[in-house]
Amino acid sequence: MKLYIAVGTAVLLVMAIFIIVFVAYYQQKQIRQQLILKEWQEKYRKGLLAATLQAQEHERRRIAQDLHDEIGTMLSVTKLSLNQLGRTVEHNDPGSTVLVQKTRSLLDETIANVRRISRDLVPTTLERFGLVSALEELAEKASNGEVHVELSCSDKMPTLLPQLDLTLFRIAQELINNAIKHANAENIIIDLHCQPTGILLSVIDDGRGFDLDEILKDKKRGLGLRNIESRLNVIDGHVTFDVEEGRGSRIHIQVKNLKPEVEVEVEAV
Amino acid sequence: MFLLLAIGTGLVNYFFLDKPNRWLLRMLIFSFAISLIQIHDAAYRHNNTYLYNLNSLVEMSGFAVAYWTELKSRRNRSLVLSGFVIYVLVFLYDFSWTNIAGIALGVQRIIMIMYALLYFHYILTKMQIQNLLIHSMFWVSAGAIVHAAGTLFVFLFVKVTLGDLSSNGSYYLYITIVRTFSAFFYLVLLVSFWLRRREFRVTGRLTV
Ligand SMILES: Nc1ncnc2c1ncn2[C@@H]1O[C@H](COP(=O)(O)OP(=O)(O)OP(=O)(O)O)[C@@H](O)[C@H]1O
Ligand SMILES: [Mg+2]
Repeated sequence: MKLYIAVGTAVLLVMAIFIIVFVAYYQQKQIRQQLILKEWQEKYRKGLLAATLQAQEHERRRIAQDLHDEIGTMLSVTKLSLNQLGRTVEHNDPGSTVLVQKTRSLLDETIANVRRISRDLVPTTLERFGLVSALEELAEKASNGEVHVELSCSDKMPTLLPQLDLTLFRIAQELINNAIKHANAENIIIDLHCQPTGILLSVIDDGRGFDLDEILKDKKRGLGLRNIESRLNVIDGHVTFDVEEGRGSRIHIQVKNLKPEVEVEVEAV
Repeated sequence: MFLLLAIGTGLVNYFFLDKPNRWLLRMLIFSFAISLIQIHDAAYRHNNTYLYNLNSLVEMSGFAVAYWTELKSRRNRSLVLSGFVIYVLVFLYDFSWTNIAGIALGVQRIIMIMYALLYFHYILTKMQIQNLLIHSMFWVSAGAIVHAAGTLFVFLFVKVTLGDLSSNGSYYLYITIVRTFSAFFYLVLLVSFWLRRREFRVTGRLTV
């Protein structure tokens, strides 16, 4: 009897220990698998976002090209023939000259608009001269009698990956648009700063500010802020909203610079 | 001795304990009170075996509440509850002032094992715990299962093992086994209280 008890106890104990070890092992394995799966999903989502953004840029470029090459050309041709028409009209029917003049100026305006739109769609300056110049141009364009946009940046800007450039530029564009559209700001400062760990872009306005929580809760809100977040998601960036109702907003964007110099060099060789 | 240590750590870390661990601590304090009475009775050569039975009731209640608070699903809770009810019925039937209620204690072990298995099942299906090895309830369950498995047969066949004091030393052998496993279990509880503190810190840091 005693032997049975001893053996039974031993068997039970071994079983208990076995179960414990099994549970611990199995659980850890599952957790690891879950982590891998999550990582994979995250990567997939990022890839999808990146692809979407790229497609967007692509489409813009195509539209800009079509606009410039086709409509722009057609408009130029139209202007030429209008000039001819104007000359004939001047001889035969001086009364219609005013009308021709008016049409011509409308046409000129349209041509200018098409050029502007096609240029805005694709940030040419960014591609040719880099982020700083593009932001300068942006500030200059946005400044007018009511708002004053200023760019301040640290002297030594490293070359960035093209994608990083574009992301920062688009974000700055949206933030400035917001500051002009919603904040009634008089002064807007774009601050571009190079840190050892990455790039810090801040857009600071002196407008009326807003309540971030309320905006985030609003289901009908615009796409601007959401787009900023998804753009940053792709490049592992961060956005910090230092905002409050009744005072100017400060919005900081932080991205890691992925040391593109090496990659660019490799590509160039 | 280990019981005291476990209570001590439990109290030190009381702030960090979550609900189930707090219940376990309360259970320990009751157990401690009972063992004090036990020592007292033994010193005066009173009969103290009924206290083993009472202690079992206290332990079981503590466990039932602890697992009740930890296992959140309705099915698990009803299992915990029914286990406890079965135990109480057996306990009432088997309780005696002069003998160790072997069946009741055996059933307690079985139900403790059941609880621990239930908890393992819960862990494996829920998958919410990131690092199991520092999760205190896991260790509590592991300790409980070892403790219960080690002492189950001793109590189920109490007539043979702890029944007669006269037989050549077997009572002392078995009571030592029981004490060893209890001490082991208290030790595990002690560790788990500390772990709970650490876990608390880790999760606290994560949420900040
Ligand atoms: N600098 C700012 N100052 C004050 N309010 C702001 C500022 N930036 C954003 N907001 C508020 O946050 C809201 C959400 O901005 P968001 O850019 O997401 O959308 P939107 O500008 O309204 O639309 P979209 O950008 O899609 O054209 C705005 O409607 C505005 O009320
Ligand atoms: Mg906007």
